[in-house]
Amino acid sequence: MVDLKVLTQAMSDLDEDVLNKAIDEVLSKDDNAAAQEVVKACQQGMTLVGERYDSGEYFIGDLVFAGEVLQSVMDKLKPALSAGSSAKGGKIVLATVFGDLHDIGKNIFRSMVEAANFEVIDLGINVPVSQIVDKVKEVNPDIVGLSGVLTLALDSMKETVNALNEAGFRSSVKVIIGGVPVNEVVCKSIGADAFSTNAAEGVKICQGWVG
Amino acid sequence: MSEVMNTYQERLDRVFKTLRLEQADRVPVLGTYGTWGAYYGGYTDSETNWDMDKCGKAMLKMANDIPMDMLHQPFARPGGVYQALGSKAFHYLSDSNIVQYSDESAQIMKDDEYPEFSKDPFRFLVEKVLPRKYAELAKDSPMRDLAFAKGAMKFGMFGAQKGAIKGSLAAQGMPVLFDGIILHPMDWIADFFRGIKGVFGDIRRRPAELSEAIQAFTPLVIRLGMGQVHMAPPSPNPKALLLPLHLPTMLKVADFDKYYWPSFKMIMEFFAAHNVYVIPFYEGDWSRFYNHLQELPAKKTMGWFEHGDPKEMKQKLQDTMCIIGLFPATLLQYGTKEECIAKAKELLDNLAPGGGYIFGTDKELIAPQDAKAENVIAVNKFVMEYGIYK
Repeated sequence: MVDLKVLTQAMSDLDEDVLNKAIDEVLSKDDNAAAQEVVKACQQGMTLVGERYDSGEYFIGDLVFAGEVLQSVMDKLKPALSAGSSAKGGKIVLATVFGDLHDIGKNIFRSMVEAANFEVIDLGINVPVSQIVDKVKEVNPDIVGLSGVLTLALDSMKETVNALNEAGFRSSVKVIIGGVPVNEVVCKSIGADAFSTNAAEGVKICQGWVG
Repeated sequence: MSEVMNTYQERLDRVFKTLRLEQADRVPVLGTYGTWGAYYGGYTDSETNWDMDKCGKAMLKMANDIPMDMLHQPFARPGGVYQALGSKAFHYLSDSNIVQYSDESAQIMKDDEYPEFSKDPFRFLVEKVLPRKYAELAKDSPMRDLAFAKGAMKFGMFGAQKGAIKGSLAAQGMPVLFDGIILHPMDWIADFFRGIKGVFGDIRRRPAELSEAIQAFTPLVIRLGMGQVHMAPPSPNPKALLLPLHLPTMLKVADFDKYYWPSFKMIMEFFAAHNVYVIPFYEGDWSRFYNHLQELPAKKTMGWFEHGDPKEMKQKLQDTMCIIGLFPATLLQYGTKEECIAKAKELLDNLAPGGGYIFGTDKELIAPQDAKAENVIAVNKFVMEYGIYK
């Protein structure tokens, strides 16, 4: 059996070689329970990545790479995992809003909330207001996450929040906005519940909502 | 000298005196209005990219309506060049949207091609990058040659049209700051060859190759900058190049020191030695790099900052560089006139004393709603009155 502590450490250090070796070993044994443990260990490693970001040791480049590493780990393990096996912490509908196609920040946030055990429905980039509202109607999430880099995304965020209001969902879902142009003034004006320009902090806000 | 020429000269002197860290008669105001200006003039970004006259008209309207000392640059892009070469990298998401560039479009160099790139970056650009980036250049001759000739012709026209816009602005007493634009080699590789995500992976997976590529590319970036400096008409003041910086605040300090800083310093020192003002746009929060910035050639550069504590910035950088920026564009969009003026006063109180400060927004205004025009006008007017040195 692989040493789970080593795995957690390797994920935290973003050491792909160690991670890949350990995962190949688990996969060679076709052990579903072990694969579950590996996922958990990697998620814990991802939490450490978030802490290292908070402490100023890691920066966005490291988070982007961490997201990619975690994604490739999950892709590798997917066949060994039975469906719907791990408990979920909450449900988030996530999108880069209409008019903007930047997704790096959104993807960092996605990998970090997924590591924190949230179920994420990622609608992608340039997502029209109606598509977000329809998805909220369909999956009944706890949280809607809206991302954007350009200042023009702020208008789309505002329209999305307004549409959620009109559709009667505003009391049942929390809205968090993220990206370069968001700040307190913007958050208030848009009518979101919270904002963050820091993915690790955003995860904590979401955990606070569903915890 | 005519009254207009006097105004023109006064504005130029005010800005360049401040750039040299001397105290002018008052704090100058730089109009950092990008494609927002297109909408202000009644057009869309797309329209001005296809018809440069519209860009010129919008800039003249801004120069007439909005109190300022200088505009930073014409905002239109050469749509005709992209079309002639068959570019697929620039996207309009709707008629009224601004042009955007996606990270996927940037991934055009393979991860095992670094050695070939570093051996001869120019050859690699011409033979590998351009045909992958521009569909028309991937075709066989003579289609390829025709596309190239057409693109070059359109690019020449674009340059001439930009010159004409600067001329007509000057005729109304409004100078334009930038003579060209360059990128840091690492940003260039990330933005256009490997994608930002790709480069973050390369930092971990092939650090030596990435480092070598950045070093190999640096002389070419300098050459490109000097080419633009020489193309601009002669002027009594130093030429100015914009240098937007993308990756640094996303990097660990160790990675910044290894990949970014050496080339950045080399570029800044080269142009300072040639009496060209390179004006970096310091995207993000640079506070952890202020000690680095103190090493840049003094009184030869201006820092356009997005974030930071004005007090700390002034204290750390006032002997090295003129400061511009920090005024939040979002306040111009969402704030009241009074809130905007209060913020401008706070910035002036901290940054104006002794000179070396030019008023400007924290980022270029791009989308139509990025700022309420009445807020921009009120703030600039306030700065011109409150920022007088007694």
